[in-house]
Amino acid sequence: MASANRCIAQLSRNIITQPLRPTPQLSQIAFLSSQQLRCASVGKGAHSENAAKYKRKDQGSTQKKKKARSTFIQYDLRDAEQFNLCDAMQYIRAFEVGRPPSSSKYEMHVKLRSIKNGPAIRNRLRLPHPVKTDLRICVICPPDSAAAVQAKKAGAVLVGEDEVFDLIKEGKIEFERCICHIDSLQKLNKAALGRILGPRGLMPSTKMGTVVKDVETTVREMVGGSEYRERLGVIRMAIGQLGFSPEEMQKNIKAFMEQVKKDVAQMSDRISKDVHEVVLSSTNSPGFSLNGEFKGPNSVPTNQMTVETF
Amino acid sequence: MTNKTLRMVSILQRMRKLKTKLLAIRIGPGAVILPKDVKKINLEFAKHIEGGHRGARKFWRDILPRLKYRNPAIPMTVSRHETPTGPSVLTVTFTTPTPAAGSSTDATPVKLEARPPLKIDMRNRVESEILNELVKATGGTEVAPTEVELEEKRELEEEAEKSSRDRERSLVVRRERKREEEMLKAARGVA
Repeated sequence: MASANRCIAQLSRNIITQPLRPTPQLSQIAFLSSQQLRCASVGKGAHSENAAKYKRKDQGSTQKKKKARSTFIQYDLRDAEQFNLCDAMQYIRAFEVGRPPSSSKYEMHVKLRSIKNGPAIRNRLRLPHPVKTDLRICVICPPDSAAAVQAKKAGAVLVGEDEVFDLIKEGKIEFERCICHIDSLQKLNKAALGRILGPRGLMPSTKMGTVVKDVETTVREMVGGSEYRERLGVIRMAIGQLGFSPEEMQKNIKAFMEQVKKDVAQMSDRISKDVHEVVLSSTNSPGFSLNGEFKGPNSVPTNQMTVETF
Repeated sequence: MTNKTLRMVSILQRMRKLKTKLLAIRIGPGAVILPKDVKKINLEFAKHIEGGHRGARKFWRDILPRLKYRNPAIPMTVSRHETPTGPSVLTVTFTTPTPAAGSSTDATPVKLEARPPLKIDMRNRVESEILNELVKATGGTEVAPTEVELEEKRELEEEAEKSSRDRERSLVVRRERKREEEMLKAARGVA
């Protein structure tokens, strides 16, 4: 049928070839193209009288409009196979066997039910059993000031102002966190380091709490704490080393989840966020969706899951 | 930065992949429960295959996870070195087995000796041979896969076959569509 082929060709011309499930990003383009489609079909669709007779008159109003999704896709968790903590850890240890126990880390992914492009959760937390204990911190403050002295005492690796800027511009970024004293904020902004530090998440900003007056306590807090942020509806954070026992993991996970729930509650006066799924995985293993229980009837007793000495 | 085309994979797809991986660990050579007196297992081999370390590496990748899953209490470590001519050995250390409670009627407890550590040479050997020797020497019991697991495995394999056939079919359709679209674009671009 020539007319049908022509219609299909128009369809294929206007709608970009998508994978079988349209992605949220492309749905906006599809929305535009459906408008074009409407004009096209009204203009050229009626090639034969037969087709004109059978063409739906109300095609314009009931045209397939792809509305951009405003929340992230949520899946029905009943389709998921969920595990309790001890079973998941037994599997994960099997996947990670033979690797040094301090190189692989457990990580936690918390999927939130939230709208897109809304405010995201960003916070810092001190785990009961810290994962990474050697953190190099850089403090930007006027050199030879009380703040500088305090920072060095609290354990900062790099302290200063102009020298630090020069080092960063050269590319020698040998620290994992960077905080800034309030007095140095102006100089920092003028030095235009956003290009270099920004993509690494190291740029000090008031929003993140990295522009402070009291340098000493912040540095001390940072050395033990790990920070997390929500990206595209998921919060990911390292939550344990491979050598941790199930009890230690349980404590860490509890602390993390409580903090996340508090953050979610704080956000919910303007935006509704909800914890949807919790997944545990590690560097070399697939993700296990957790059902919230510690152990099941068939789980191996926890004293058998020992630390592997390397 | 974040990859903009990251999508949340559908939960069924995720579960299918997860199940295949988990079943691969539960079923297969190496699903063996080792006796209680095995204290620890240590693998030693080179970082690269030259020198006959292939069997050892395969053992580590394929069989050791299954062993570990069935015996989570036994620490299983791996030490790697750089020299191809270096050792390629599997060492099993044994503990002194505790005497059974209530069986000792005499006043002096019977002193049991631990077996000497067992060393298995892995150089130039296939991983199945290494496993057989290990099981024979330690006296472990193999775990037979249950009916449910075999059933699941069969189902997953069928699904994988079906999806590869569907993939080929839809690839043809998509290629056709793409070709038509490009022809039209070229026609419009010229005109």
